[in-house]
Amino acid sequence: MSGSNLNKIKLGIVNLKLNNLFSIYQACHNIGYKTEIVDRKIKKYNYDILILPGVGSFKSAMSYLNKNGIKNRILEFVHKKNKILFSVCLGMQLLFEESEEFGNTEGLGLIKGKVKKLIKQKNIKIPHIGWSDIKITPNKKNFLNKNFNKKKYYFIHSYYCSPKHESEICSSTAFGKIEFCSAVRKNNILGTQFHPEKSGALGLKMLASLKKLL
Amino acid sequence: MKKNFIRIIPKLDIKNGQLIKGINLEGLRILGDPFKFAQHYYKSLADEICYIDNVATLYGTNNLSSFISRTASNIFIPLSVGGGIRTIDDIERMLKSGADKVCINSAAVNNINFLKKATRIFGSSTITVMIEYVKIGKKYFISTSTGRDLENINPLDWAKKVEDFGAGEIFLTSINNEGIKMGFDIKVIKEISKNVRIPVIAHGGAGTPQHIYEVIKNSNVSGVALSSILHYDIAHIFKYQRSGIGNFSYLDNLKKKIKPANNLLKIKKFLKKKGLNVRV
Repeated sequence: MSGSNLNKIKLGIVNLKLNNLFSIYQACHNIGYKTEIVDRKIKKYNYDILILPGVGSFKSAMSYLNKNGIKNRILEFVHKKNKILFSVCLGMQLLFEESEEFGNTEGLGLIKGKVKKLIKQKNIKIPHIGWSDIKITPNKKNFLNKNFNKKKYYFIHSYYCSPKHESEICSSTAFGKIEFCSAVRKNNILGTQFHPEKSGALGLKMLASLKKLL
Repeated sequence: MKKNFIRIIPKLDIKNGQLIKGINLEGLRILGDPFKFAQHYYKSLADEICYIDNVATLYGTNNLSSFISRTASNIFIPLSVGGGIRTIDDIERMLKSGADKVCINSAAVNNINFLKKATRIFGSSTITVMIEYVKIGKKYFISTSTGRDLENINPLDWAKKVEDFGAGEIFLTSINNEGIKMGFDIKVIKEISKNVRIPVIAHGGAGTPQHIYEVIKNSNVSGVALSSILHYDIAHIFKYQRSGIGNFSYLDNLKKKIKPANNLLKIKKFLKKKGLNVRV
């Protein structure tokens, strides 16, 4: 699946420790991006696409970002032109102002809104683990096109993002009686609650489509 | 109200680098290279792959890492891994190799606080507890070390306890039904999935697509793990190379042309036709 022009696009994956970076690395690498893991020692973010991956707890991820100066590097990165920040699962949650996980914790504050716990519902299991549909919202700035609509992606989470501005919601997903925001975009800042790197061929297509936004 | 898609999860038991399959977790036969099977299942729309190193606890090793990496480099669906996970370092090593979830059994039975610690560090959704239970007479026991040791603990009580200690999911195996292909132990599966809030994966006993349908229909499980029903039918597709020691008789005696009765995609289509929420 490697594209000839993709290998000119530099893609960095932020190492938050404790997560499975291997899968997302392999997914991006297999697609053809010039992929590298961004360790805390790397100060210059010379990438076209920066990925903020998922898995782990909000609090430990934020304290790691703060302690190692990574937070500031991410904030600088998104202010540059022709750059994409793509965040997955916990990574998407980190974009918001604060999370309810283990008491309120401050996030990156790149997108207005909160991260909340999935509410208990009868016969609905939490964590939400498995494949669910996404419904793409009619949003001019949506990074998801109709090919990705009403298809199934892999989710694994107990918290969800609640953006303040509806215009930033790119897709929603039904969970029991509620619907939560499953993809978000504000300018060059993107996120999905599901794991495209774990959603088979369709997920890889979505990751490959990021190049069109540059 | 929309229910989650039911996950259909091929479970691959591995011993010394070979895919194996037993009956009641015993009498292990070698079936071939697990990676080839996993790749086949990925193409047949498996929702997740589960690798278990069957003798890891017994021998105090876990050499699954290289398999995990090879799999995660080529297969882009969730990967659960278990067998012989005893320490926080073990979990970290599995995740770094490309596992998404880690299954623990013996380590939680031996020290429930290990479970709590693991879920604090890695998050609940990363930690699955495997419960292997057996019925002897009228009494239920849970088992560790892949069926070798019995603990005088009721599986329902244990399920509730591991939920309290932070488990993100329960992988439930009926040892009595395992490998027999006569259907699931619906009674116990139903009871446990009703009494915990976390997802329960049912395993042990699938012999026909109808068996799978029945356990999903009659309980609140989030997924079903399959092994015998899938592995035997496709073993003939892959050329195997005899290496190491073990029971190769199944592969040696394979008839050249078997028409697979139950492939994964066929099973999923059957379930969908019956009205279940599966990904096809």
